[in-house]
Amino acid sequence: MTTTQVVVTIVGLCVVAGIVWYFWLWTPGQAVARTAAGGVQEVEVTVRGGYEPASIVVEAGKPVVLRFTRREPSTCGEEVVIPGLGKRAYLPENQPVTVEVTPERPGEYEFTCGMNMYRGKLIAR
Amino acid sequence: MNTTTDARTEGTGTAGGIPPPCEACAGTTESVLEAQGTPPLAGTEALERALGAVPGVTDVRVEPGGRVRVRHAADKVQFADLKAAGDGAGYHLARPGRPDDVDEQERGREREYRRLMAKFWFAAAVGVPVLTTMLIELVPALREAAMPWHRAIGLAAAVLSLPVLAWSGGHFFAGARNALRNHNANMDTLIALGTGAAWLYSTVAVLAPDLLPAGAGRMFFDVAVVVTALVVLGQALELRAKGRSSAAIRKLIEVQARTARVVRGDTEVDVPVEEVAVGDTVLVRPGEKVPVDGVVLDGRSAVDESVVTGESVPADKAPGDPVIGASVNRTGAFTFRATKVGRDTVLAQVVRMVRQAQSTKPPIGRLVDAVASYFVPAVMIVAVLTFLAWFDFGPEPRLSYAVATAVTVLVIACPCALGLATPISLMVGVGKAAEHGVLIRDGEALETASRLAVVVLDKTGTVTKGRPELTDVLPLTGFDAGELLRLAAAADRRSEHPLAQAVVNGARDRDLDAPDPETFEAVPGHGVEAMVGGRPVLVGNAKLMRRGGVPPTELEASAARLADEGKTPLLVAVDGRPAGVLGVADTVKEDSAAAVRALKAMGVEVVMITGDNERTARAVARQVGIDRVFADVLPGEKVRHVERLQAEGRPGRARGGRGARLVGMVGDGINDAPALAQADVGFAVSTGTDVAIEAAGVTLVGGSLRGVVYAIEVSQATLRNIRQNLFGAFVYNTLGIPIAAGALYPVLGILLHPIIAGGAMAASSLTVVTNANRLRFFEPKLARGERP
Repeated sequence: MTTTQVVVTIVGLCVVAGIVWYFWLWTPGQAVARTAAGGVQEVEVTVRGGYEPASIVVEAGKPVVLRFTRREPSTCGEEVVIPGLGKRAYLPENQPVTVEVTPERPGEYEFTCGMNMYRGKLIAR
Repeated sequence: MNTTTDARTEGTGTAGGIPPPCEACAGTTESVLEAQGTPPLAGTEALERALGAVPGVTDVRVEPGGRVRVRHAADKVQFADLKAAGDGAGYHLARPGRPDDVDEQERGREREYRRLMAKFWFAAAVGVPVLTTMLIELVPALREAAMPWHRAIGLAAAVLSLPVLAWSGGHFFAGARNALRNHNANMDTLIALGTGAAWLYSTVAVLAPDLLPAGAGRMFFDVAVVVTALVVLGQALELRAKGRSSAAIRKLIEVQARTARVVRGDTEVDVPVEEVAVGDTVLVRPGEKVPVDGVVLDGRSAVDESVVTGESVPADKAPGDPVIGASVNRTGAFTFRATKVGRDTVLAQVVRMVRQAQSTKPPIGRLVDAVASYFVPAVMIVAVLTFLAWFDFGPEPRLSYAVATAVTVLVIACPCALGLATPISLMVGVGKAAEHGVLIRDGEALETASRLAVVVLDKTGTVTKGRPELTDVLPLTGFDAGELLRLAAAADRRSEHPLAQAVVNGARDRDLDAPDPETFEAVPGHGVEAMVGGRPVLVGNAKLMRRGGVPPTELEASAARLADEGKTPLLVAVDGRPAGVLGVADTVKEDSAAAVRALKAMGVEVVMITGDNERTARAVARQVGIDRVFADVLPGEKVRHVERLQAEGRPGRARGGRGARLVGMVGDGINDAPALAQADVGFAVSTGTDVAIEAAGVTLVGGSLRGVVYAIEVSQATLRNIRQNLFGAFVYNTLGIPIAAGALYPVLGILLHPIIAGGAMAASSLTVVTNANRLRFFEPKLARGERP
């Protein structure tokens, strides 16, 4: 192998390690839902290449109001689905859409886009 | 728009499902509105204050999710007043009308489609010249001739392809950047990386060829442009196809009536359907749609309820019968009292249930989801490793080969096909079922229903109609059958006993005119005694005959035969002499036998369960062709019988292969709820006023057993479709990626061109959607074909 090949190979393997770390090992920060006057927990979620925040801590057994706003023209995120709670909503671009759920039992409830490429989760405690 | 619980309904009591009026709110009415617009819900106090300030309003409640309930004096407050107050507080208030947002979604899709097509045409227009110049490079003779202009051609291609990447493929780069920010990677990431790398490398080859090893100056501008064009075209077509996948739901929404003719005092007023209030009297003429749910007040007609129930035979409606909104009135005019409006109608419930079901996942999709979340980064890693392999061990020019293969890997991988495979089929399948009056609760119920080994049918109301009907008229010699029935019906006219009603209805169906009796006495536990046209008539059991001094000996043979057939014999005596026997039975529904045959043909064992005695149960089972019967079962014991059937796992027959056999239970949603919940799939038979039945995985809106057959057939078809999709997507990716990486090169010398790879990728996700859409044309063979 030439020196160039060795250098390129090492750089390539570093890129692989970087991909593993950046996409798989990185854990998103958690957001805690804000509780409004009526005991309703509220969270604003921005949809832009994913969900921001993607990990939301809520209290189990209490209603949660998720307000999704899709801030991108890509139709990838045009639907948000919460399979565990049987909810699906269409998100027009730049228009907040409210999805109301009540996670009865503690646990993780995933929410994804219609094609399951964007992922986020509600962590009910 | 009004949901009334008020003075209007006083006097009619609580009949027809109208909630009783509350004491504090007599004379008021409740309007339900929807708050739309952008202010956060935390600020609803402003809205509450504004609405509370409207004269006549007594109470305002804003519910999470934007529903607003306003209680106000019945006649003083108009919608416009409330709307104006809402506007003042920064909220747009609307009447809760059409139950969904499909229109808006459709418009959004159309806009996006046009945008994508414009991007495609631009990319295609640029693509043709760029592709031509690159082809020149491939033909040695032409390349020689074009050599002096090599650099100029390359520069032109670089400049031309830049706007294609920036505009036509702009959303890939934006999407990739957005995803990257969230530590995500998706299809955008792959396409952006692939086309971006191709363009950058080619640009370096044009501008600074000295940086690259000799001979590695191959340009890929055509790849960048054509792959962008193909993938954008694929996305546009996919968007179109996805619109068709939700056609079933759109159809359900579109069948709604737009206006209603409401009777106000002496006049008839045409109003938008949103303004019909509970308690309103609505007139429906032949050919018109029933606007909302209600109960017939006056008039008779046949109503086609097929849009909601899937039942093609129109249902006869008489005063007291429920009518369903969106059904079509066929023969006569009638008026009805509205009992459910807006979001509460059966149709709205159906739409909600279907949409909810479409958002769930069958278990089969879970593994794929787990795979999908690792897929894109894995492809990126494969691309890097492919690059290294070609760069370190490949033939010269190694760098060109390394770039080409890495780009091919990136653009051939199709995460969308994997991600779409399950949900898109489920969406079509669940919608298809709903068109036939079969509402499937979720993906799990659908998957389980496709593998049922046993179906347990509750007898009353499921196999049978659930109400007694006159089946036999057996006069003794010397009596005319018509006369016997006429007299018996006259005697029974004032009785409210179901058996008596069956006789009266039987006489009416046979066009016999039963007069009112002069005297009438109901003898509990025996029957009735009456005087009809001066003749004493007894209708009842043997005890009644003996009590009236009529020895029933001559009638006993006929009575015993009827009892053997599972019918209830009614003995009739006229003028103090035995006259004949009438047979009354809970008759089987017309299509029960066909449904049982169809289930058996699918290899499903059919079992009947009933609280009736063995003899009656056997008689019904014989009529419909069921061999196994559990009779004399107390309501609470049904659960145990279902459990026992589940435990009867015979591995050879169990298609589930998990030991226990999957058992479906069909019954009504109330008495049979525990058994429905115990079963692997509960099928609730709904007669059409309430469809969201908690314990059931499947609701049969039409109430016909054919629905069970249909549910199983459509589930099997959907599961088959999902498997095809998953198999296709899986095989495509597992074969496509290694071939793209050059796995065939060492042996066969075959290397995939990146443009072919991009085309394959665009085609593969389109194939998945198209295959799912094939389900729309699914025709049940057994549920239809075996109809008597």
